[in-house]
Amino acid sequence: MIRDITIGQYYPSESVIHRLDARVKFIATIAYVVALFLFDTFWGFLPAAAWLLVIILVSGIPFRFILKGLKAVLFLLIFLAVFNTLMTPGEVLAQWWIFKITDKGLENAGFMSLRLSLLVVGSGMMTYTTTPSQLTAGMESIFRPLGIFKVPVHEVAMMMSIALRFIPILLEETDKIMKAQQARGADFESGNIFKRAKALIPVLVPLFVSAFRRAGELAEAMEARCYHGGKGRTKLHPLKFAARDYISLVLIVGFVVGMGFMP
Amino acid sequence: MSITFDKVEHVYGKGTSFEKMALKDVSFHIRDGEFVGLIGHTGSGKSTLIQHMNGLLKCTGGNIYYDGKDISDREYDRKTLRQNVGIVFQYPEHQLFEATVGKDVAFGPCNLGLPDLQADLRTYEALKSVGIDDSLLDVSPFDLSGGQKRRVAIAGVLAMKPKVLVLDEPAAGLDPVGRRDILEMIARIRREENITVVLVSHSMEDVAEYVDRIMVMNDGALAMDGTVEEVFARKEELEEMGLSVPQITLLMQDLKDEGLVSETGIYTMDEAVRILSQRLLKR
Repeated sequence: MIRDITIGQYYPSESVIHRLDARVKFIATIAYVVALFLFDTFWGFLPAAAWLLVIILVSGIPFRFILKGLKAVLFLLIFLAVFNTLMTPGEVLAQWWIFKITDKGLENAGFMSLRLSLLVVGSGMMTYTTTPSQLTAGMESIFRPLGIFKVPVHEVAMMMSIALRFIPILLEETDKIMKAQQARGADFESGNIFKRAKALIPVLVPLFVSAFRRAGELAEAMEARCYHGGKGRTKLHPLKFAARDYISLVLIVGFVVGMGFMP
Repeated sequence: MSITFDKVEHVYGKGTSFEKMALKDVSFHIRDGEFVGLIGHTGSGKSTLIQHMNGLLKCTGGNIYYDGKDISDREYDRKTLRQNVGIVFQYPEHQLFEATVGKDVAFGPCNLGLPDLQADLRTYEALKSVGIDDSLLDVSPFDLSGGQKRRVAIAGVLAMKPKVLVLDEPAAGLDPVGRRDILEMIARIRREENITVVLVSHSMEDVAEYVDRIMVMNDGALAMDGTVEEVFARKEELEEMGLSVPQITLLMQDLKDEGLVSETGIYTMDEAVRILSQRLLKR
């Protein structure tokens, strides 16, 4: 149920994509997102989808797992599609009461939902193939120059890695508490939206209590191990560029430039 | 209620790289009113097994019957099942959420759709049987001590009036006195209410002391199933599974090897004390 949300999870495997430097993957993701906004005709989806397909195939992550990630934004997708269909002015194809379906609307709806889907799956690929610790190490390294402007890069990276680390823990905890309350007859699956929201109180209260407890424990454990910020801190696995990373960078630049020249 | 597991199998995350066989070919029958201990190494499938008992998890193979009725049947009422089989999860105090102790315990009965008066009545009864004083009814459960919180959480399940009570490590993380109190309480409730109890535990001592029958899980399969004597007689096999026999059994075995006592198969402290004091008096 709650475990079905795969977005943001790491999917362990041994592919080249998994072994790429986190910085490369981060840059690639940003580049991909930018590229998705470079075109405004349907033809642009062809190379974008092909690029993504190649990455998915190389990474060896099953399509079913990726589709499950899309399920998390299904509501947003439907919302986007419906409003685009109904709200865009254009040649009216069908009309019922105040609702008008226009040709432009249908086109927009298709365009937007395709773009959003590719966006979600594309950025999902980064978290599927990168462990949270690599991810934050990569981001810390990329944003280090911002330190000159007194941006607390290390602190933000640390907060991010903790937040990411806590996602599976809190999901598991939610699952556990839901089961415990279901064992006491709680019903999360029926009733209208208000009833369902109210049914979540017995889950959310213990969840918050435990999140605060965990946060306190973690802070204490970090202090006990002499954590005092990022100054002078070294890494067990420093990030290093390998040949595959340079090759990937070239490919990414090629892809974005190619997309930029799309009609 | 009697419980029958027939070749139950459970696979987590089928078709992904997380796929894991958590239960394989588990078959057993628990008679009405039995006190069963479930032991096994961490990750042996105990928790998965007990979640099948009230339908929180559905088995991916095999069947589960209560009083001869298959719970995977479309007609089988899930709500009644949850009411009849109470599960107290590990660290149940982490599931407390209401503003007062009384309201938290009444959560279960209210979910059953009982009228307020009856729900209140059950709340008082349940709190009384776990030894929580009436004066704590309107206190926030978060202000209680660890041991009290656990009792309140157990009361929350007892208030459903289950016919089968499943407890996952109910004494974990408590001090020795707290452990004993909780286990004694469970044994007493079982006698008084005449219910079936399944006790999941890591402590061989606790299991030896309280249950009639032990089931041993190993690597997702039911490795042993028998009386306390039968199971603890297979010391070597248990040790291979990362389990053991009670400490007192080891001590008594050493004493026997030294020729100091003649009895074998001593599993509880009380028995050992009785035998040793007899021996001392004879001197």
